Amino acid sequence: MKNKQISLIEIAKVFLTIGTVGFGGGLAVIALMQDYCVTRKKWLNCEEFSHGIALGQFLGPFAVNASIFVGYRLRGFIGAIVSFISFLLPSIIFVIIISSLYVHYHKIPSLQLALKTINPVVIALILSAAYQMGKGKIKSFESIFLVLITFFLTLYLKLQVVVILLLALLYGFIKVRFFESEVKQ
Amino acid sequence: MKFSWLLFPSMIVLFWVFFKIGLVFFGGGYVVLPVIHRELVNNLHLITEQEFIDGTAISQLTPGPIAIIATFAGFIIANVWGALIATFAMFLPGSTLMFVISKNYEKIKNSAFAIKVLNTVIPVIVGLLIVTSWQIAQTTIENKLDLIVLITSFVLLVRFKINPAVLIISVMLLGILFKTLS
Repeated sequence: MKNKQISLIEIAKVFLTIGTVGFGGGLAVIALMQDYCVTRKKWLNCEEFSHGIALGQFLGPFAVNASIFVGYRLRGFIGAIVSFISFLLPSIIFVIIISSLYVHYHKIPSLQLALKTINPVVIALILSAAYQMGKGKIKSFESIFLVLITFFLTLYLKLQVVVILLLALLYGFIKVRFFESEVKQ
Repeated sequence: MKFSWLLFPSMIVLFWVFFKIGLVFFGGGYVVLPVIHRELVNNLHLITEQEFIDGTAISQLTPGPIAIIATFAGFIIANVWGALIATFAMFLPGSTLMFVISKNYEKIKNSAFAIKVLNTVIPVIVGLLIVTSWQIAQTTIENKLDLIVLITSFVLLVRFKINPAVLIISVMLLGILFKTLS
């Protein structure tokens, strides 16, 4: 990575490509990015890339964060700006075009019908995201309890999602900091 | 369009709304759905339930992260400028943090602490996603056919790993075909 500088245009080209063909959200895009940056271009090794993904989970979508990470590793701050913008630009343009079509034409009855038929699909999509996230992770009594308490807090106490997420983070922090201090190096 | 881009202060409000969404955006892309649903549909009434659903579908149809629903929501609220401001504001907190993380990568690459904390949040995000789908289902699942489509889609997505964009387009086409025939 240090031996020769990769040009910013090269970075832009790769991330514009990933941004344009990266259908299927999060993990699918990560797989594509790995294919380009690790397997084909050999910009960074597999371990480094997986660190990038792990660290990208804190705030924001990890695919976007991974693009920042790769850009930064290659060319520092400017590299990260280039990879970030080129990765998001295609989707932003696509969404703006489709949104303007949507605003103009969604009142057309036949299109409205077509849009209505996908309502259940969108619900299935959100549920499958929940399933994929929870799979293998929601086994313990504690995690099931956390899911149930989330139902209770949102549906009965009508707490804001923001508040619930911050409470969860606080809980996680306290738990890991004070109750899971087994074998520290 | 709910407010004009000429009204400059409203753009600051828009920025603030999406910036706040960006601040609680932890634990992967999908968490943005419950947050946007609660904030923009239930609390602020800036977009309707149907617009939220269509926006979710559009962000799946287009390449890139699901979080791009912010671009759609921004567009619905205040056209192109709204879309750009919403997108920028929402990605700002996470991207800034990622710049800092990348800069200090060598120092923090072995820190498992934060990842562990994040893992405890996952059940809560799962809970939020289920609640959101439950709330949408209450207003949109009208008959048995809807329910069958829901269950079939879920199985196709989870068991057969069908590409969401392909699924959305096929169901849309089937819907048009079905309605024109009957």
